Amino acid sequence: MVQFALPKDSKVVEGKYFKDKTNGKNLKKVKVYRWDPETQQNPRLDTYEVNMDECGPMVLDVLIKIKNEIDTTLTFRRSCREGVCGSCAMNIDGVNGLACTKSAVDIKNEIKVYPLPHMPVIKDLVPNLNQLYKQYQSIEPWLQVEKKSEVGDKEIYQSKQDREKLDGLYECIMCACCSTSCPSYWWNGEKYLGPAVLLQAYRWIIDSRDEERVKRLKKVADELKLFRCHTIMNCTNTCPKGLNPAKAIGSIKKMLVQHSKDL
Amino acid sequence: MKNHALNKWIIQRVSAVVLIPLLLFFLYSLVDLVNQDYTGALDFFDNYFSITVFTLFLIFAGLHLKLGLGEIIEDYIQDERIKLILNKIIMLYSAILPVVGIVSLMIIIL
Repeated sequence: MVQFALPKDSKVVEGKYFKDKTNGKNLKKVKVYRWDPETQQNPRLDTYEVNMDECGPMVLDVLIKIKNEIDTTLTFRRSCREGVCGSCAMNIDGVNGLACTKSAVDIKNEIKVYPLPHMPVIKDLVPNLNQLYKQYQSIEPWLQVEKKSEVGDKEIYQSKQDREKLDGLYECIMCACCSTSCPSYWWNGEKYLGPAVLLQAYRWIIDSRDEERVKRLKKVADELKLFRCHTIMNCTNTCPKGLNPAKAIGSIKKMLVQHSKDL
Repeated sequence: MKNHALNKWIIQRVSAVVLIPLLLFFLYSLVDLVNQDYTGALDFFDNYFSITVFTLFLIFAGLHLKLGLGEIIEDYIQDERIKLILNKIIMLYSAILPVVGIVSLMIIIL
């Protein structure tokens, strides 16, 4: 049965308060989810006063400033700082997104930062995404052709029209913002592949160079893997790259109908 | 079509679309029947069109009900035993409902 209430040791309590020591005038309160597996304590919400006059404009800049100057124990993932790697995906101001592309200045009042929802937390803002990566691996996200390539072979031809079919799909950076915003993925994350992986699955299904379309369709045509999607659309709403995973899932269903005799 | 999940998905969509006109007819009839006495109601069902549409409505509503509730069970119940029991109850309920309705219609017109 789905667990609706949090266990006692998961309840978030009020944490420490870090006052600004720079006498800044343009202060922003930032509340950050903190949890350390080594302390055996409940997760807490620490509050930091950040002088925005001495800080970059993005939420990631704020987090880096906190880590560098206020509290070095704060843990989070980050890498490219320009919305390409997906490492800094987290729940900011109630919406999943990338801290590096989310403007801190545009958020009115205080900023609340949590890890991606409904994922096991490793520490602070770092979620454990192993399950998602296993599911990604299960769809075999690589080009599959029968003929083995040899040295001197030319590349497989793809027309401009066929290449255009990959637009809106290949841009996915697997940040997991969509999957972790999906209620179906929250309830059935172990069985349902989720929007991120299904978008990737469709990216390979629709690729004109791939020769395993039917095999790929057979693999996802499952009551739990695919049909747990109820078109809630949270995935499309939250995608920081502006992609539409719900449309990709709908397209897979449409293709299943078209290839129903082969399944 | 061999794929069970796909079949279920298609039937759920098709039954939803078919139910739109049938439901509209049902609501229209309901409003009409409220103002009628018993003989008026008997007259309403005393033609093949009303009987056929009502029978179709009951069959499709039962089918759609079974599939829809089954989806909810699949979503929220993870214990396989409880899931199986609930699915059986839903199947029974969604079969009894149209059968009782259709038998009642038959009794009315015969």
